[in-house]
Amino acid sequence: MNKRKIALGPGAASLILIVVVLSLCMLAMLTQIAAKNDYNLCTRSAEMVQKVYELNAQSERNFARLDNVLAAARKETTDMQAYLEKVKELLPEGMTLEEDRVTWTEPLDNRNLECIVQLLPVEETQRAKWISHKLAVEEPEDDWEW
Amino acid sequence: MKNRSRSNTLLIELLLVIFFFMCSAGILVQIFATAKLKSKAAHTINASMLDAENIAEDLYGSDDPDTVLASYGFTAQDGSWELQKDGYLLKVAVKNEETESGTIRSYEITGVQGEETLITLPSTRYIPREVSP
Repeated sequence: MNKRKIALGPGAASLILIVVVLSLCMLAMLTQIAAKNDYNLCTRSAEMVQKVYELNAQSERNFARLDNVLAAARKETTDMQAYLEKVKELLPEGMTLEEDRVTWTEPLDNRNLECIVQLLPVEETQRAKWISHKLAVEEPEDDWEW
Repeated sequence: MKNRSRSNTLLIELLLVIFFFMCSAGILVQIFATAKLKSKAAHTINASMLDAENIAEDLYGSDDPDTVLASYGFTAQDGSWELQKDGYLLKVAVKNEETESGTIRSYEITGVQGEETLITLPSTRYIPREVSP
């Protein structure tokens, strides 16, 4: 009867060690890269959200400035045409009036928040209302092609 | 005699292999632990950001910020509101600014973990007032 012996020769254990350690190193490296990327993505996402909220807050402050102007213009006239003329005259810097809509842009880095507010008729108690809050991102032009 | 010498060599090799394996395992465990901490930090930032966004939107849409904050479980502490969440602290500061034609209500929602600020979301709402001609 043939009985085969499984012998562990010199060097076999070292070889197994090298394979196991290399595999574990690869696994550790991939885990570290994934965790780092995840963290970076979260941080960037948080920064972007923060910037968008800053833009919104700034637009709301500018809306308040515009409303001050509208209140002042309403004190002086009750005629819609004259009111619009007065508003155009008193409009804060950076804002433009077209028909009954005031538009302006809130810039921050490569993002712009385009704001549109509609002026309401002088008979109404409310002076203006938001029409649009649109965030536009200026992507840098790619200098490479596929 | 030859067999004995071979066994000794194998034993020494095995001891060396175990020693190196222990060393590399120690280093690798440290790497895995760092990765886990980083992953946890990312999760905390994400969770605080989501919470802060939800609160900011709720506050923007509400006329009574105190009720909204109380409904979330915030408690008033020295002029600001605080809520301890799982692993981080949320703080909300409310400021009212009177203008000629209305009120600017500003909120600052901050997520803090220990000494580190995770996120700060500013939110502002303008509430117009009726102005008599």
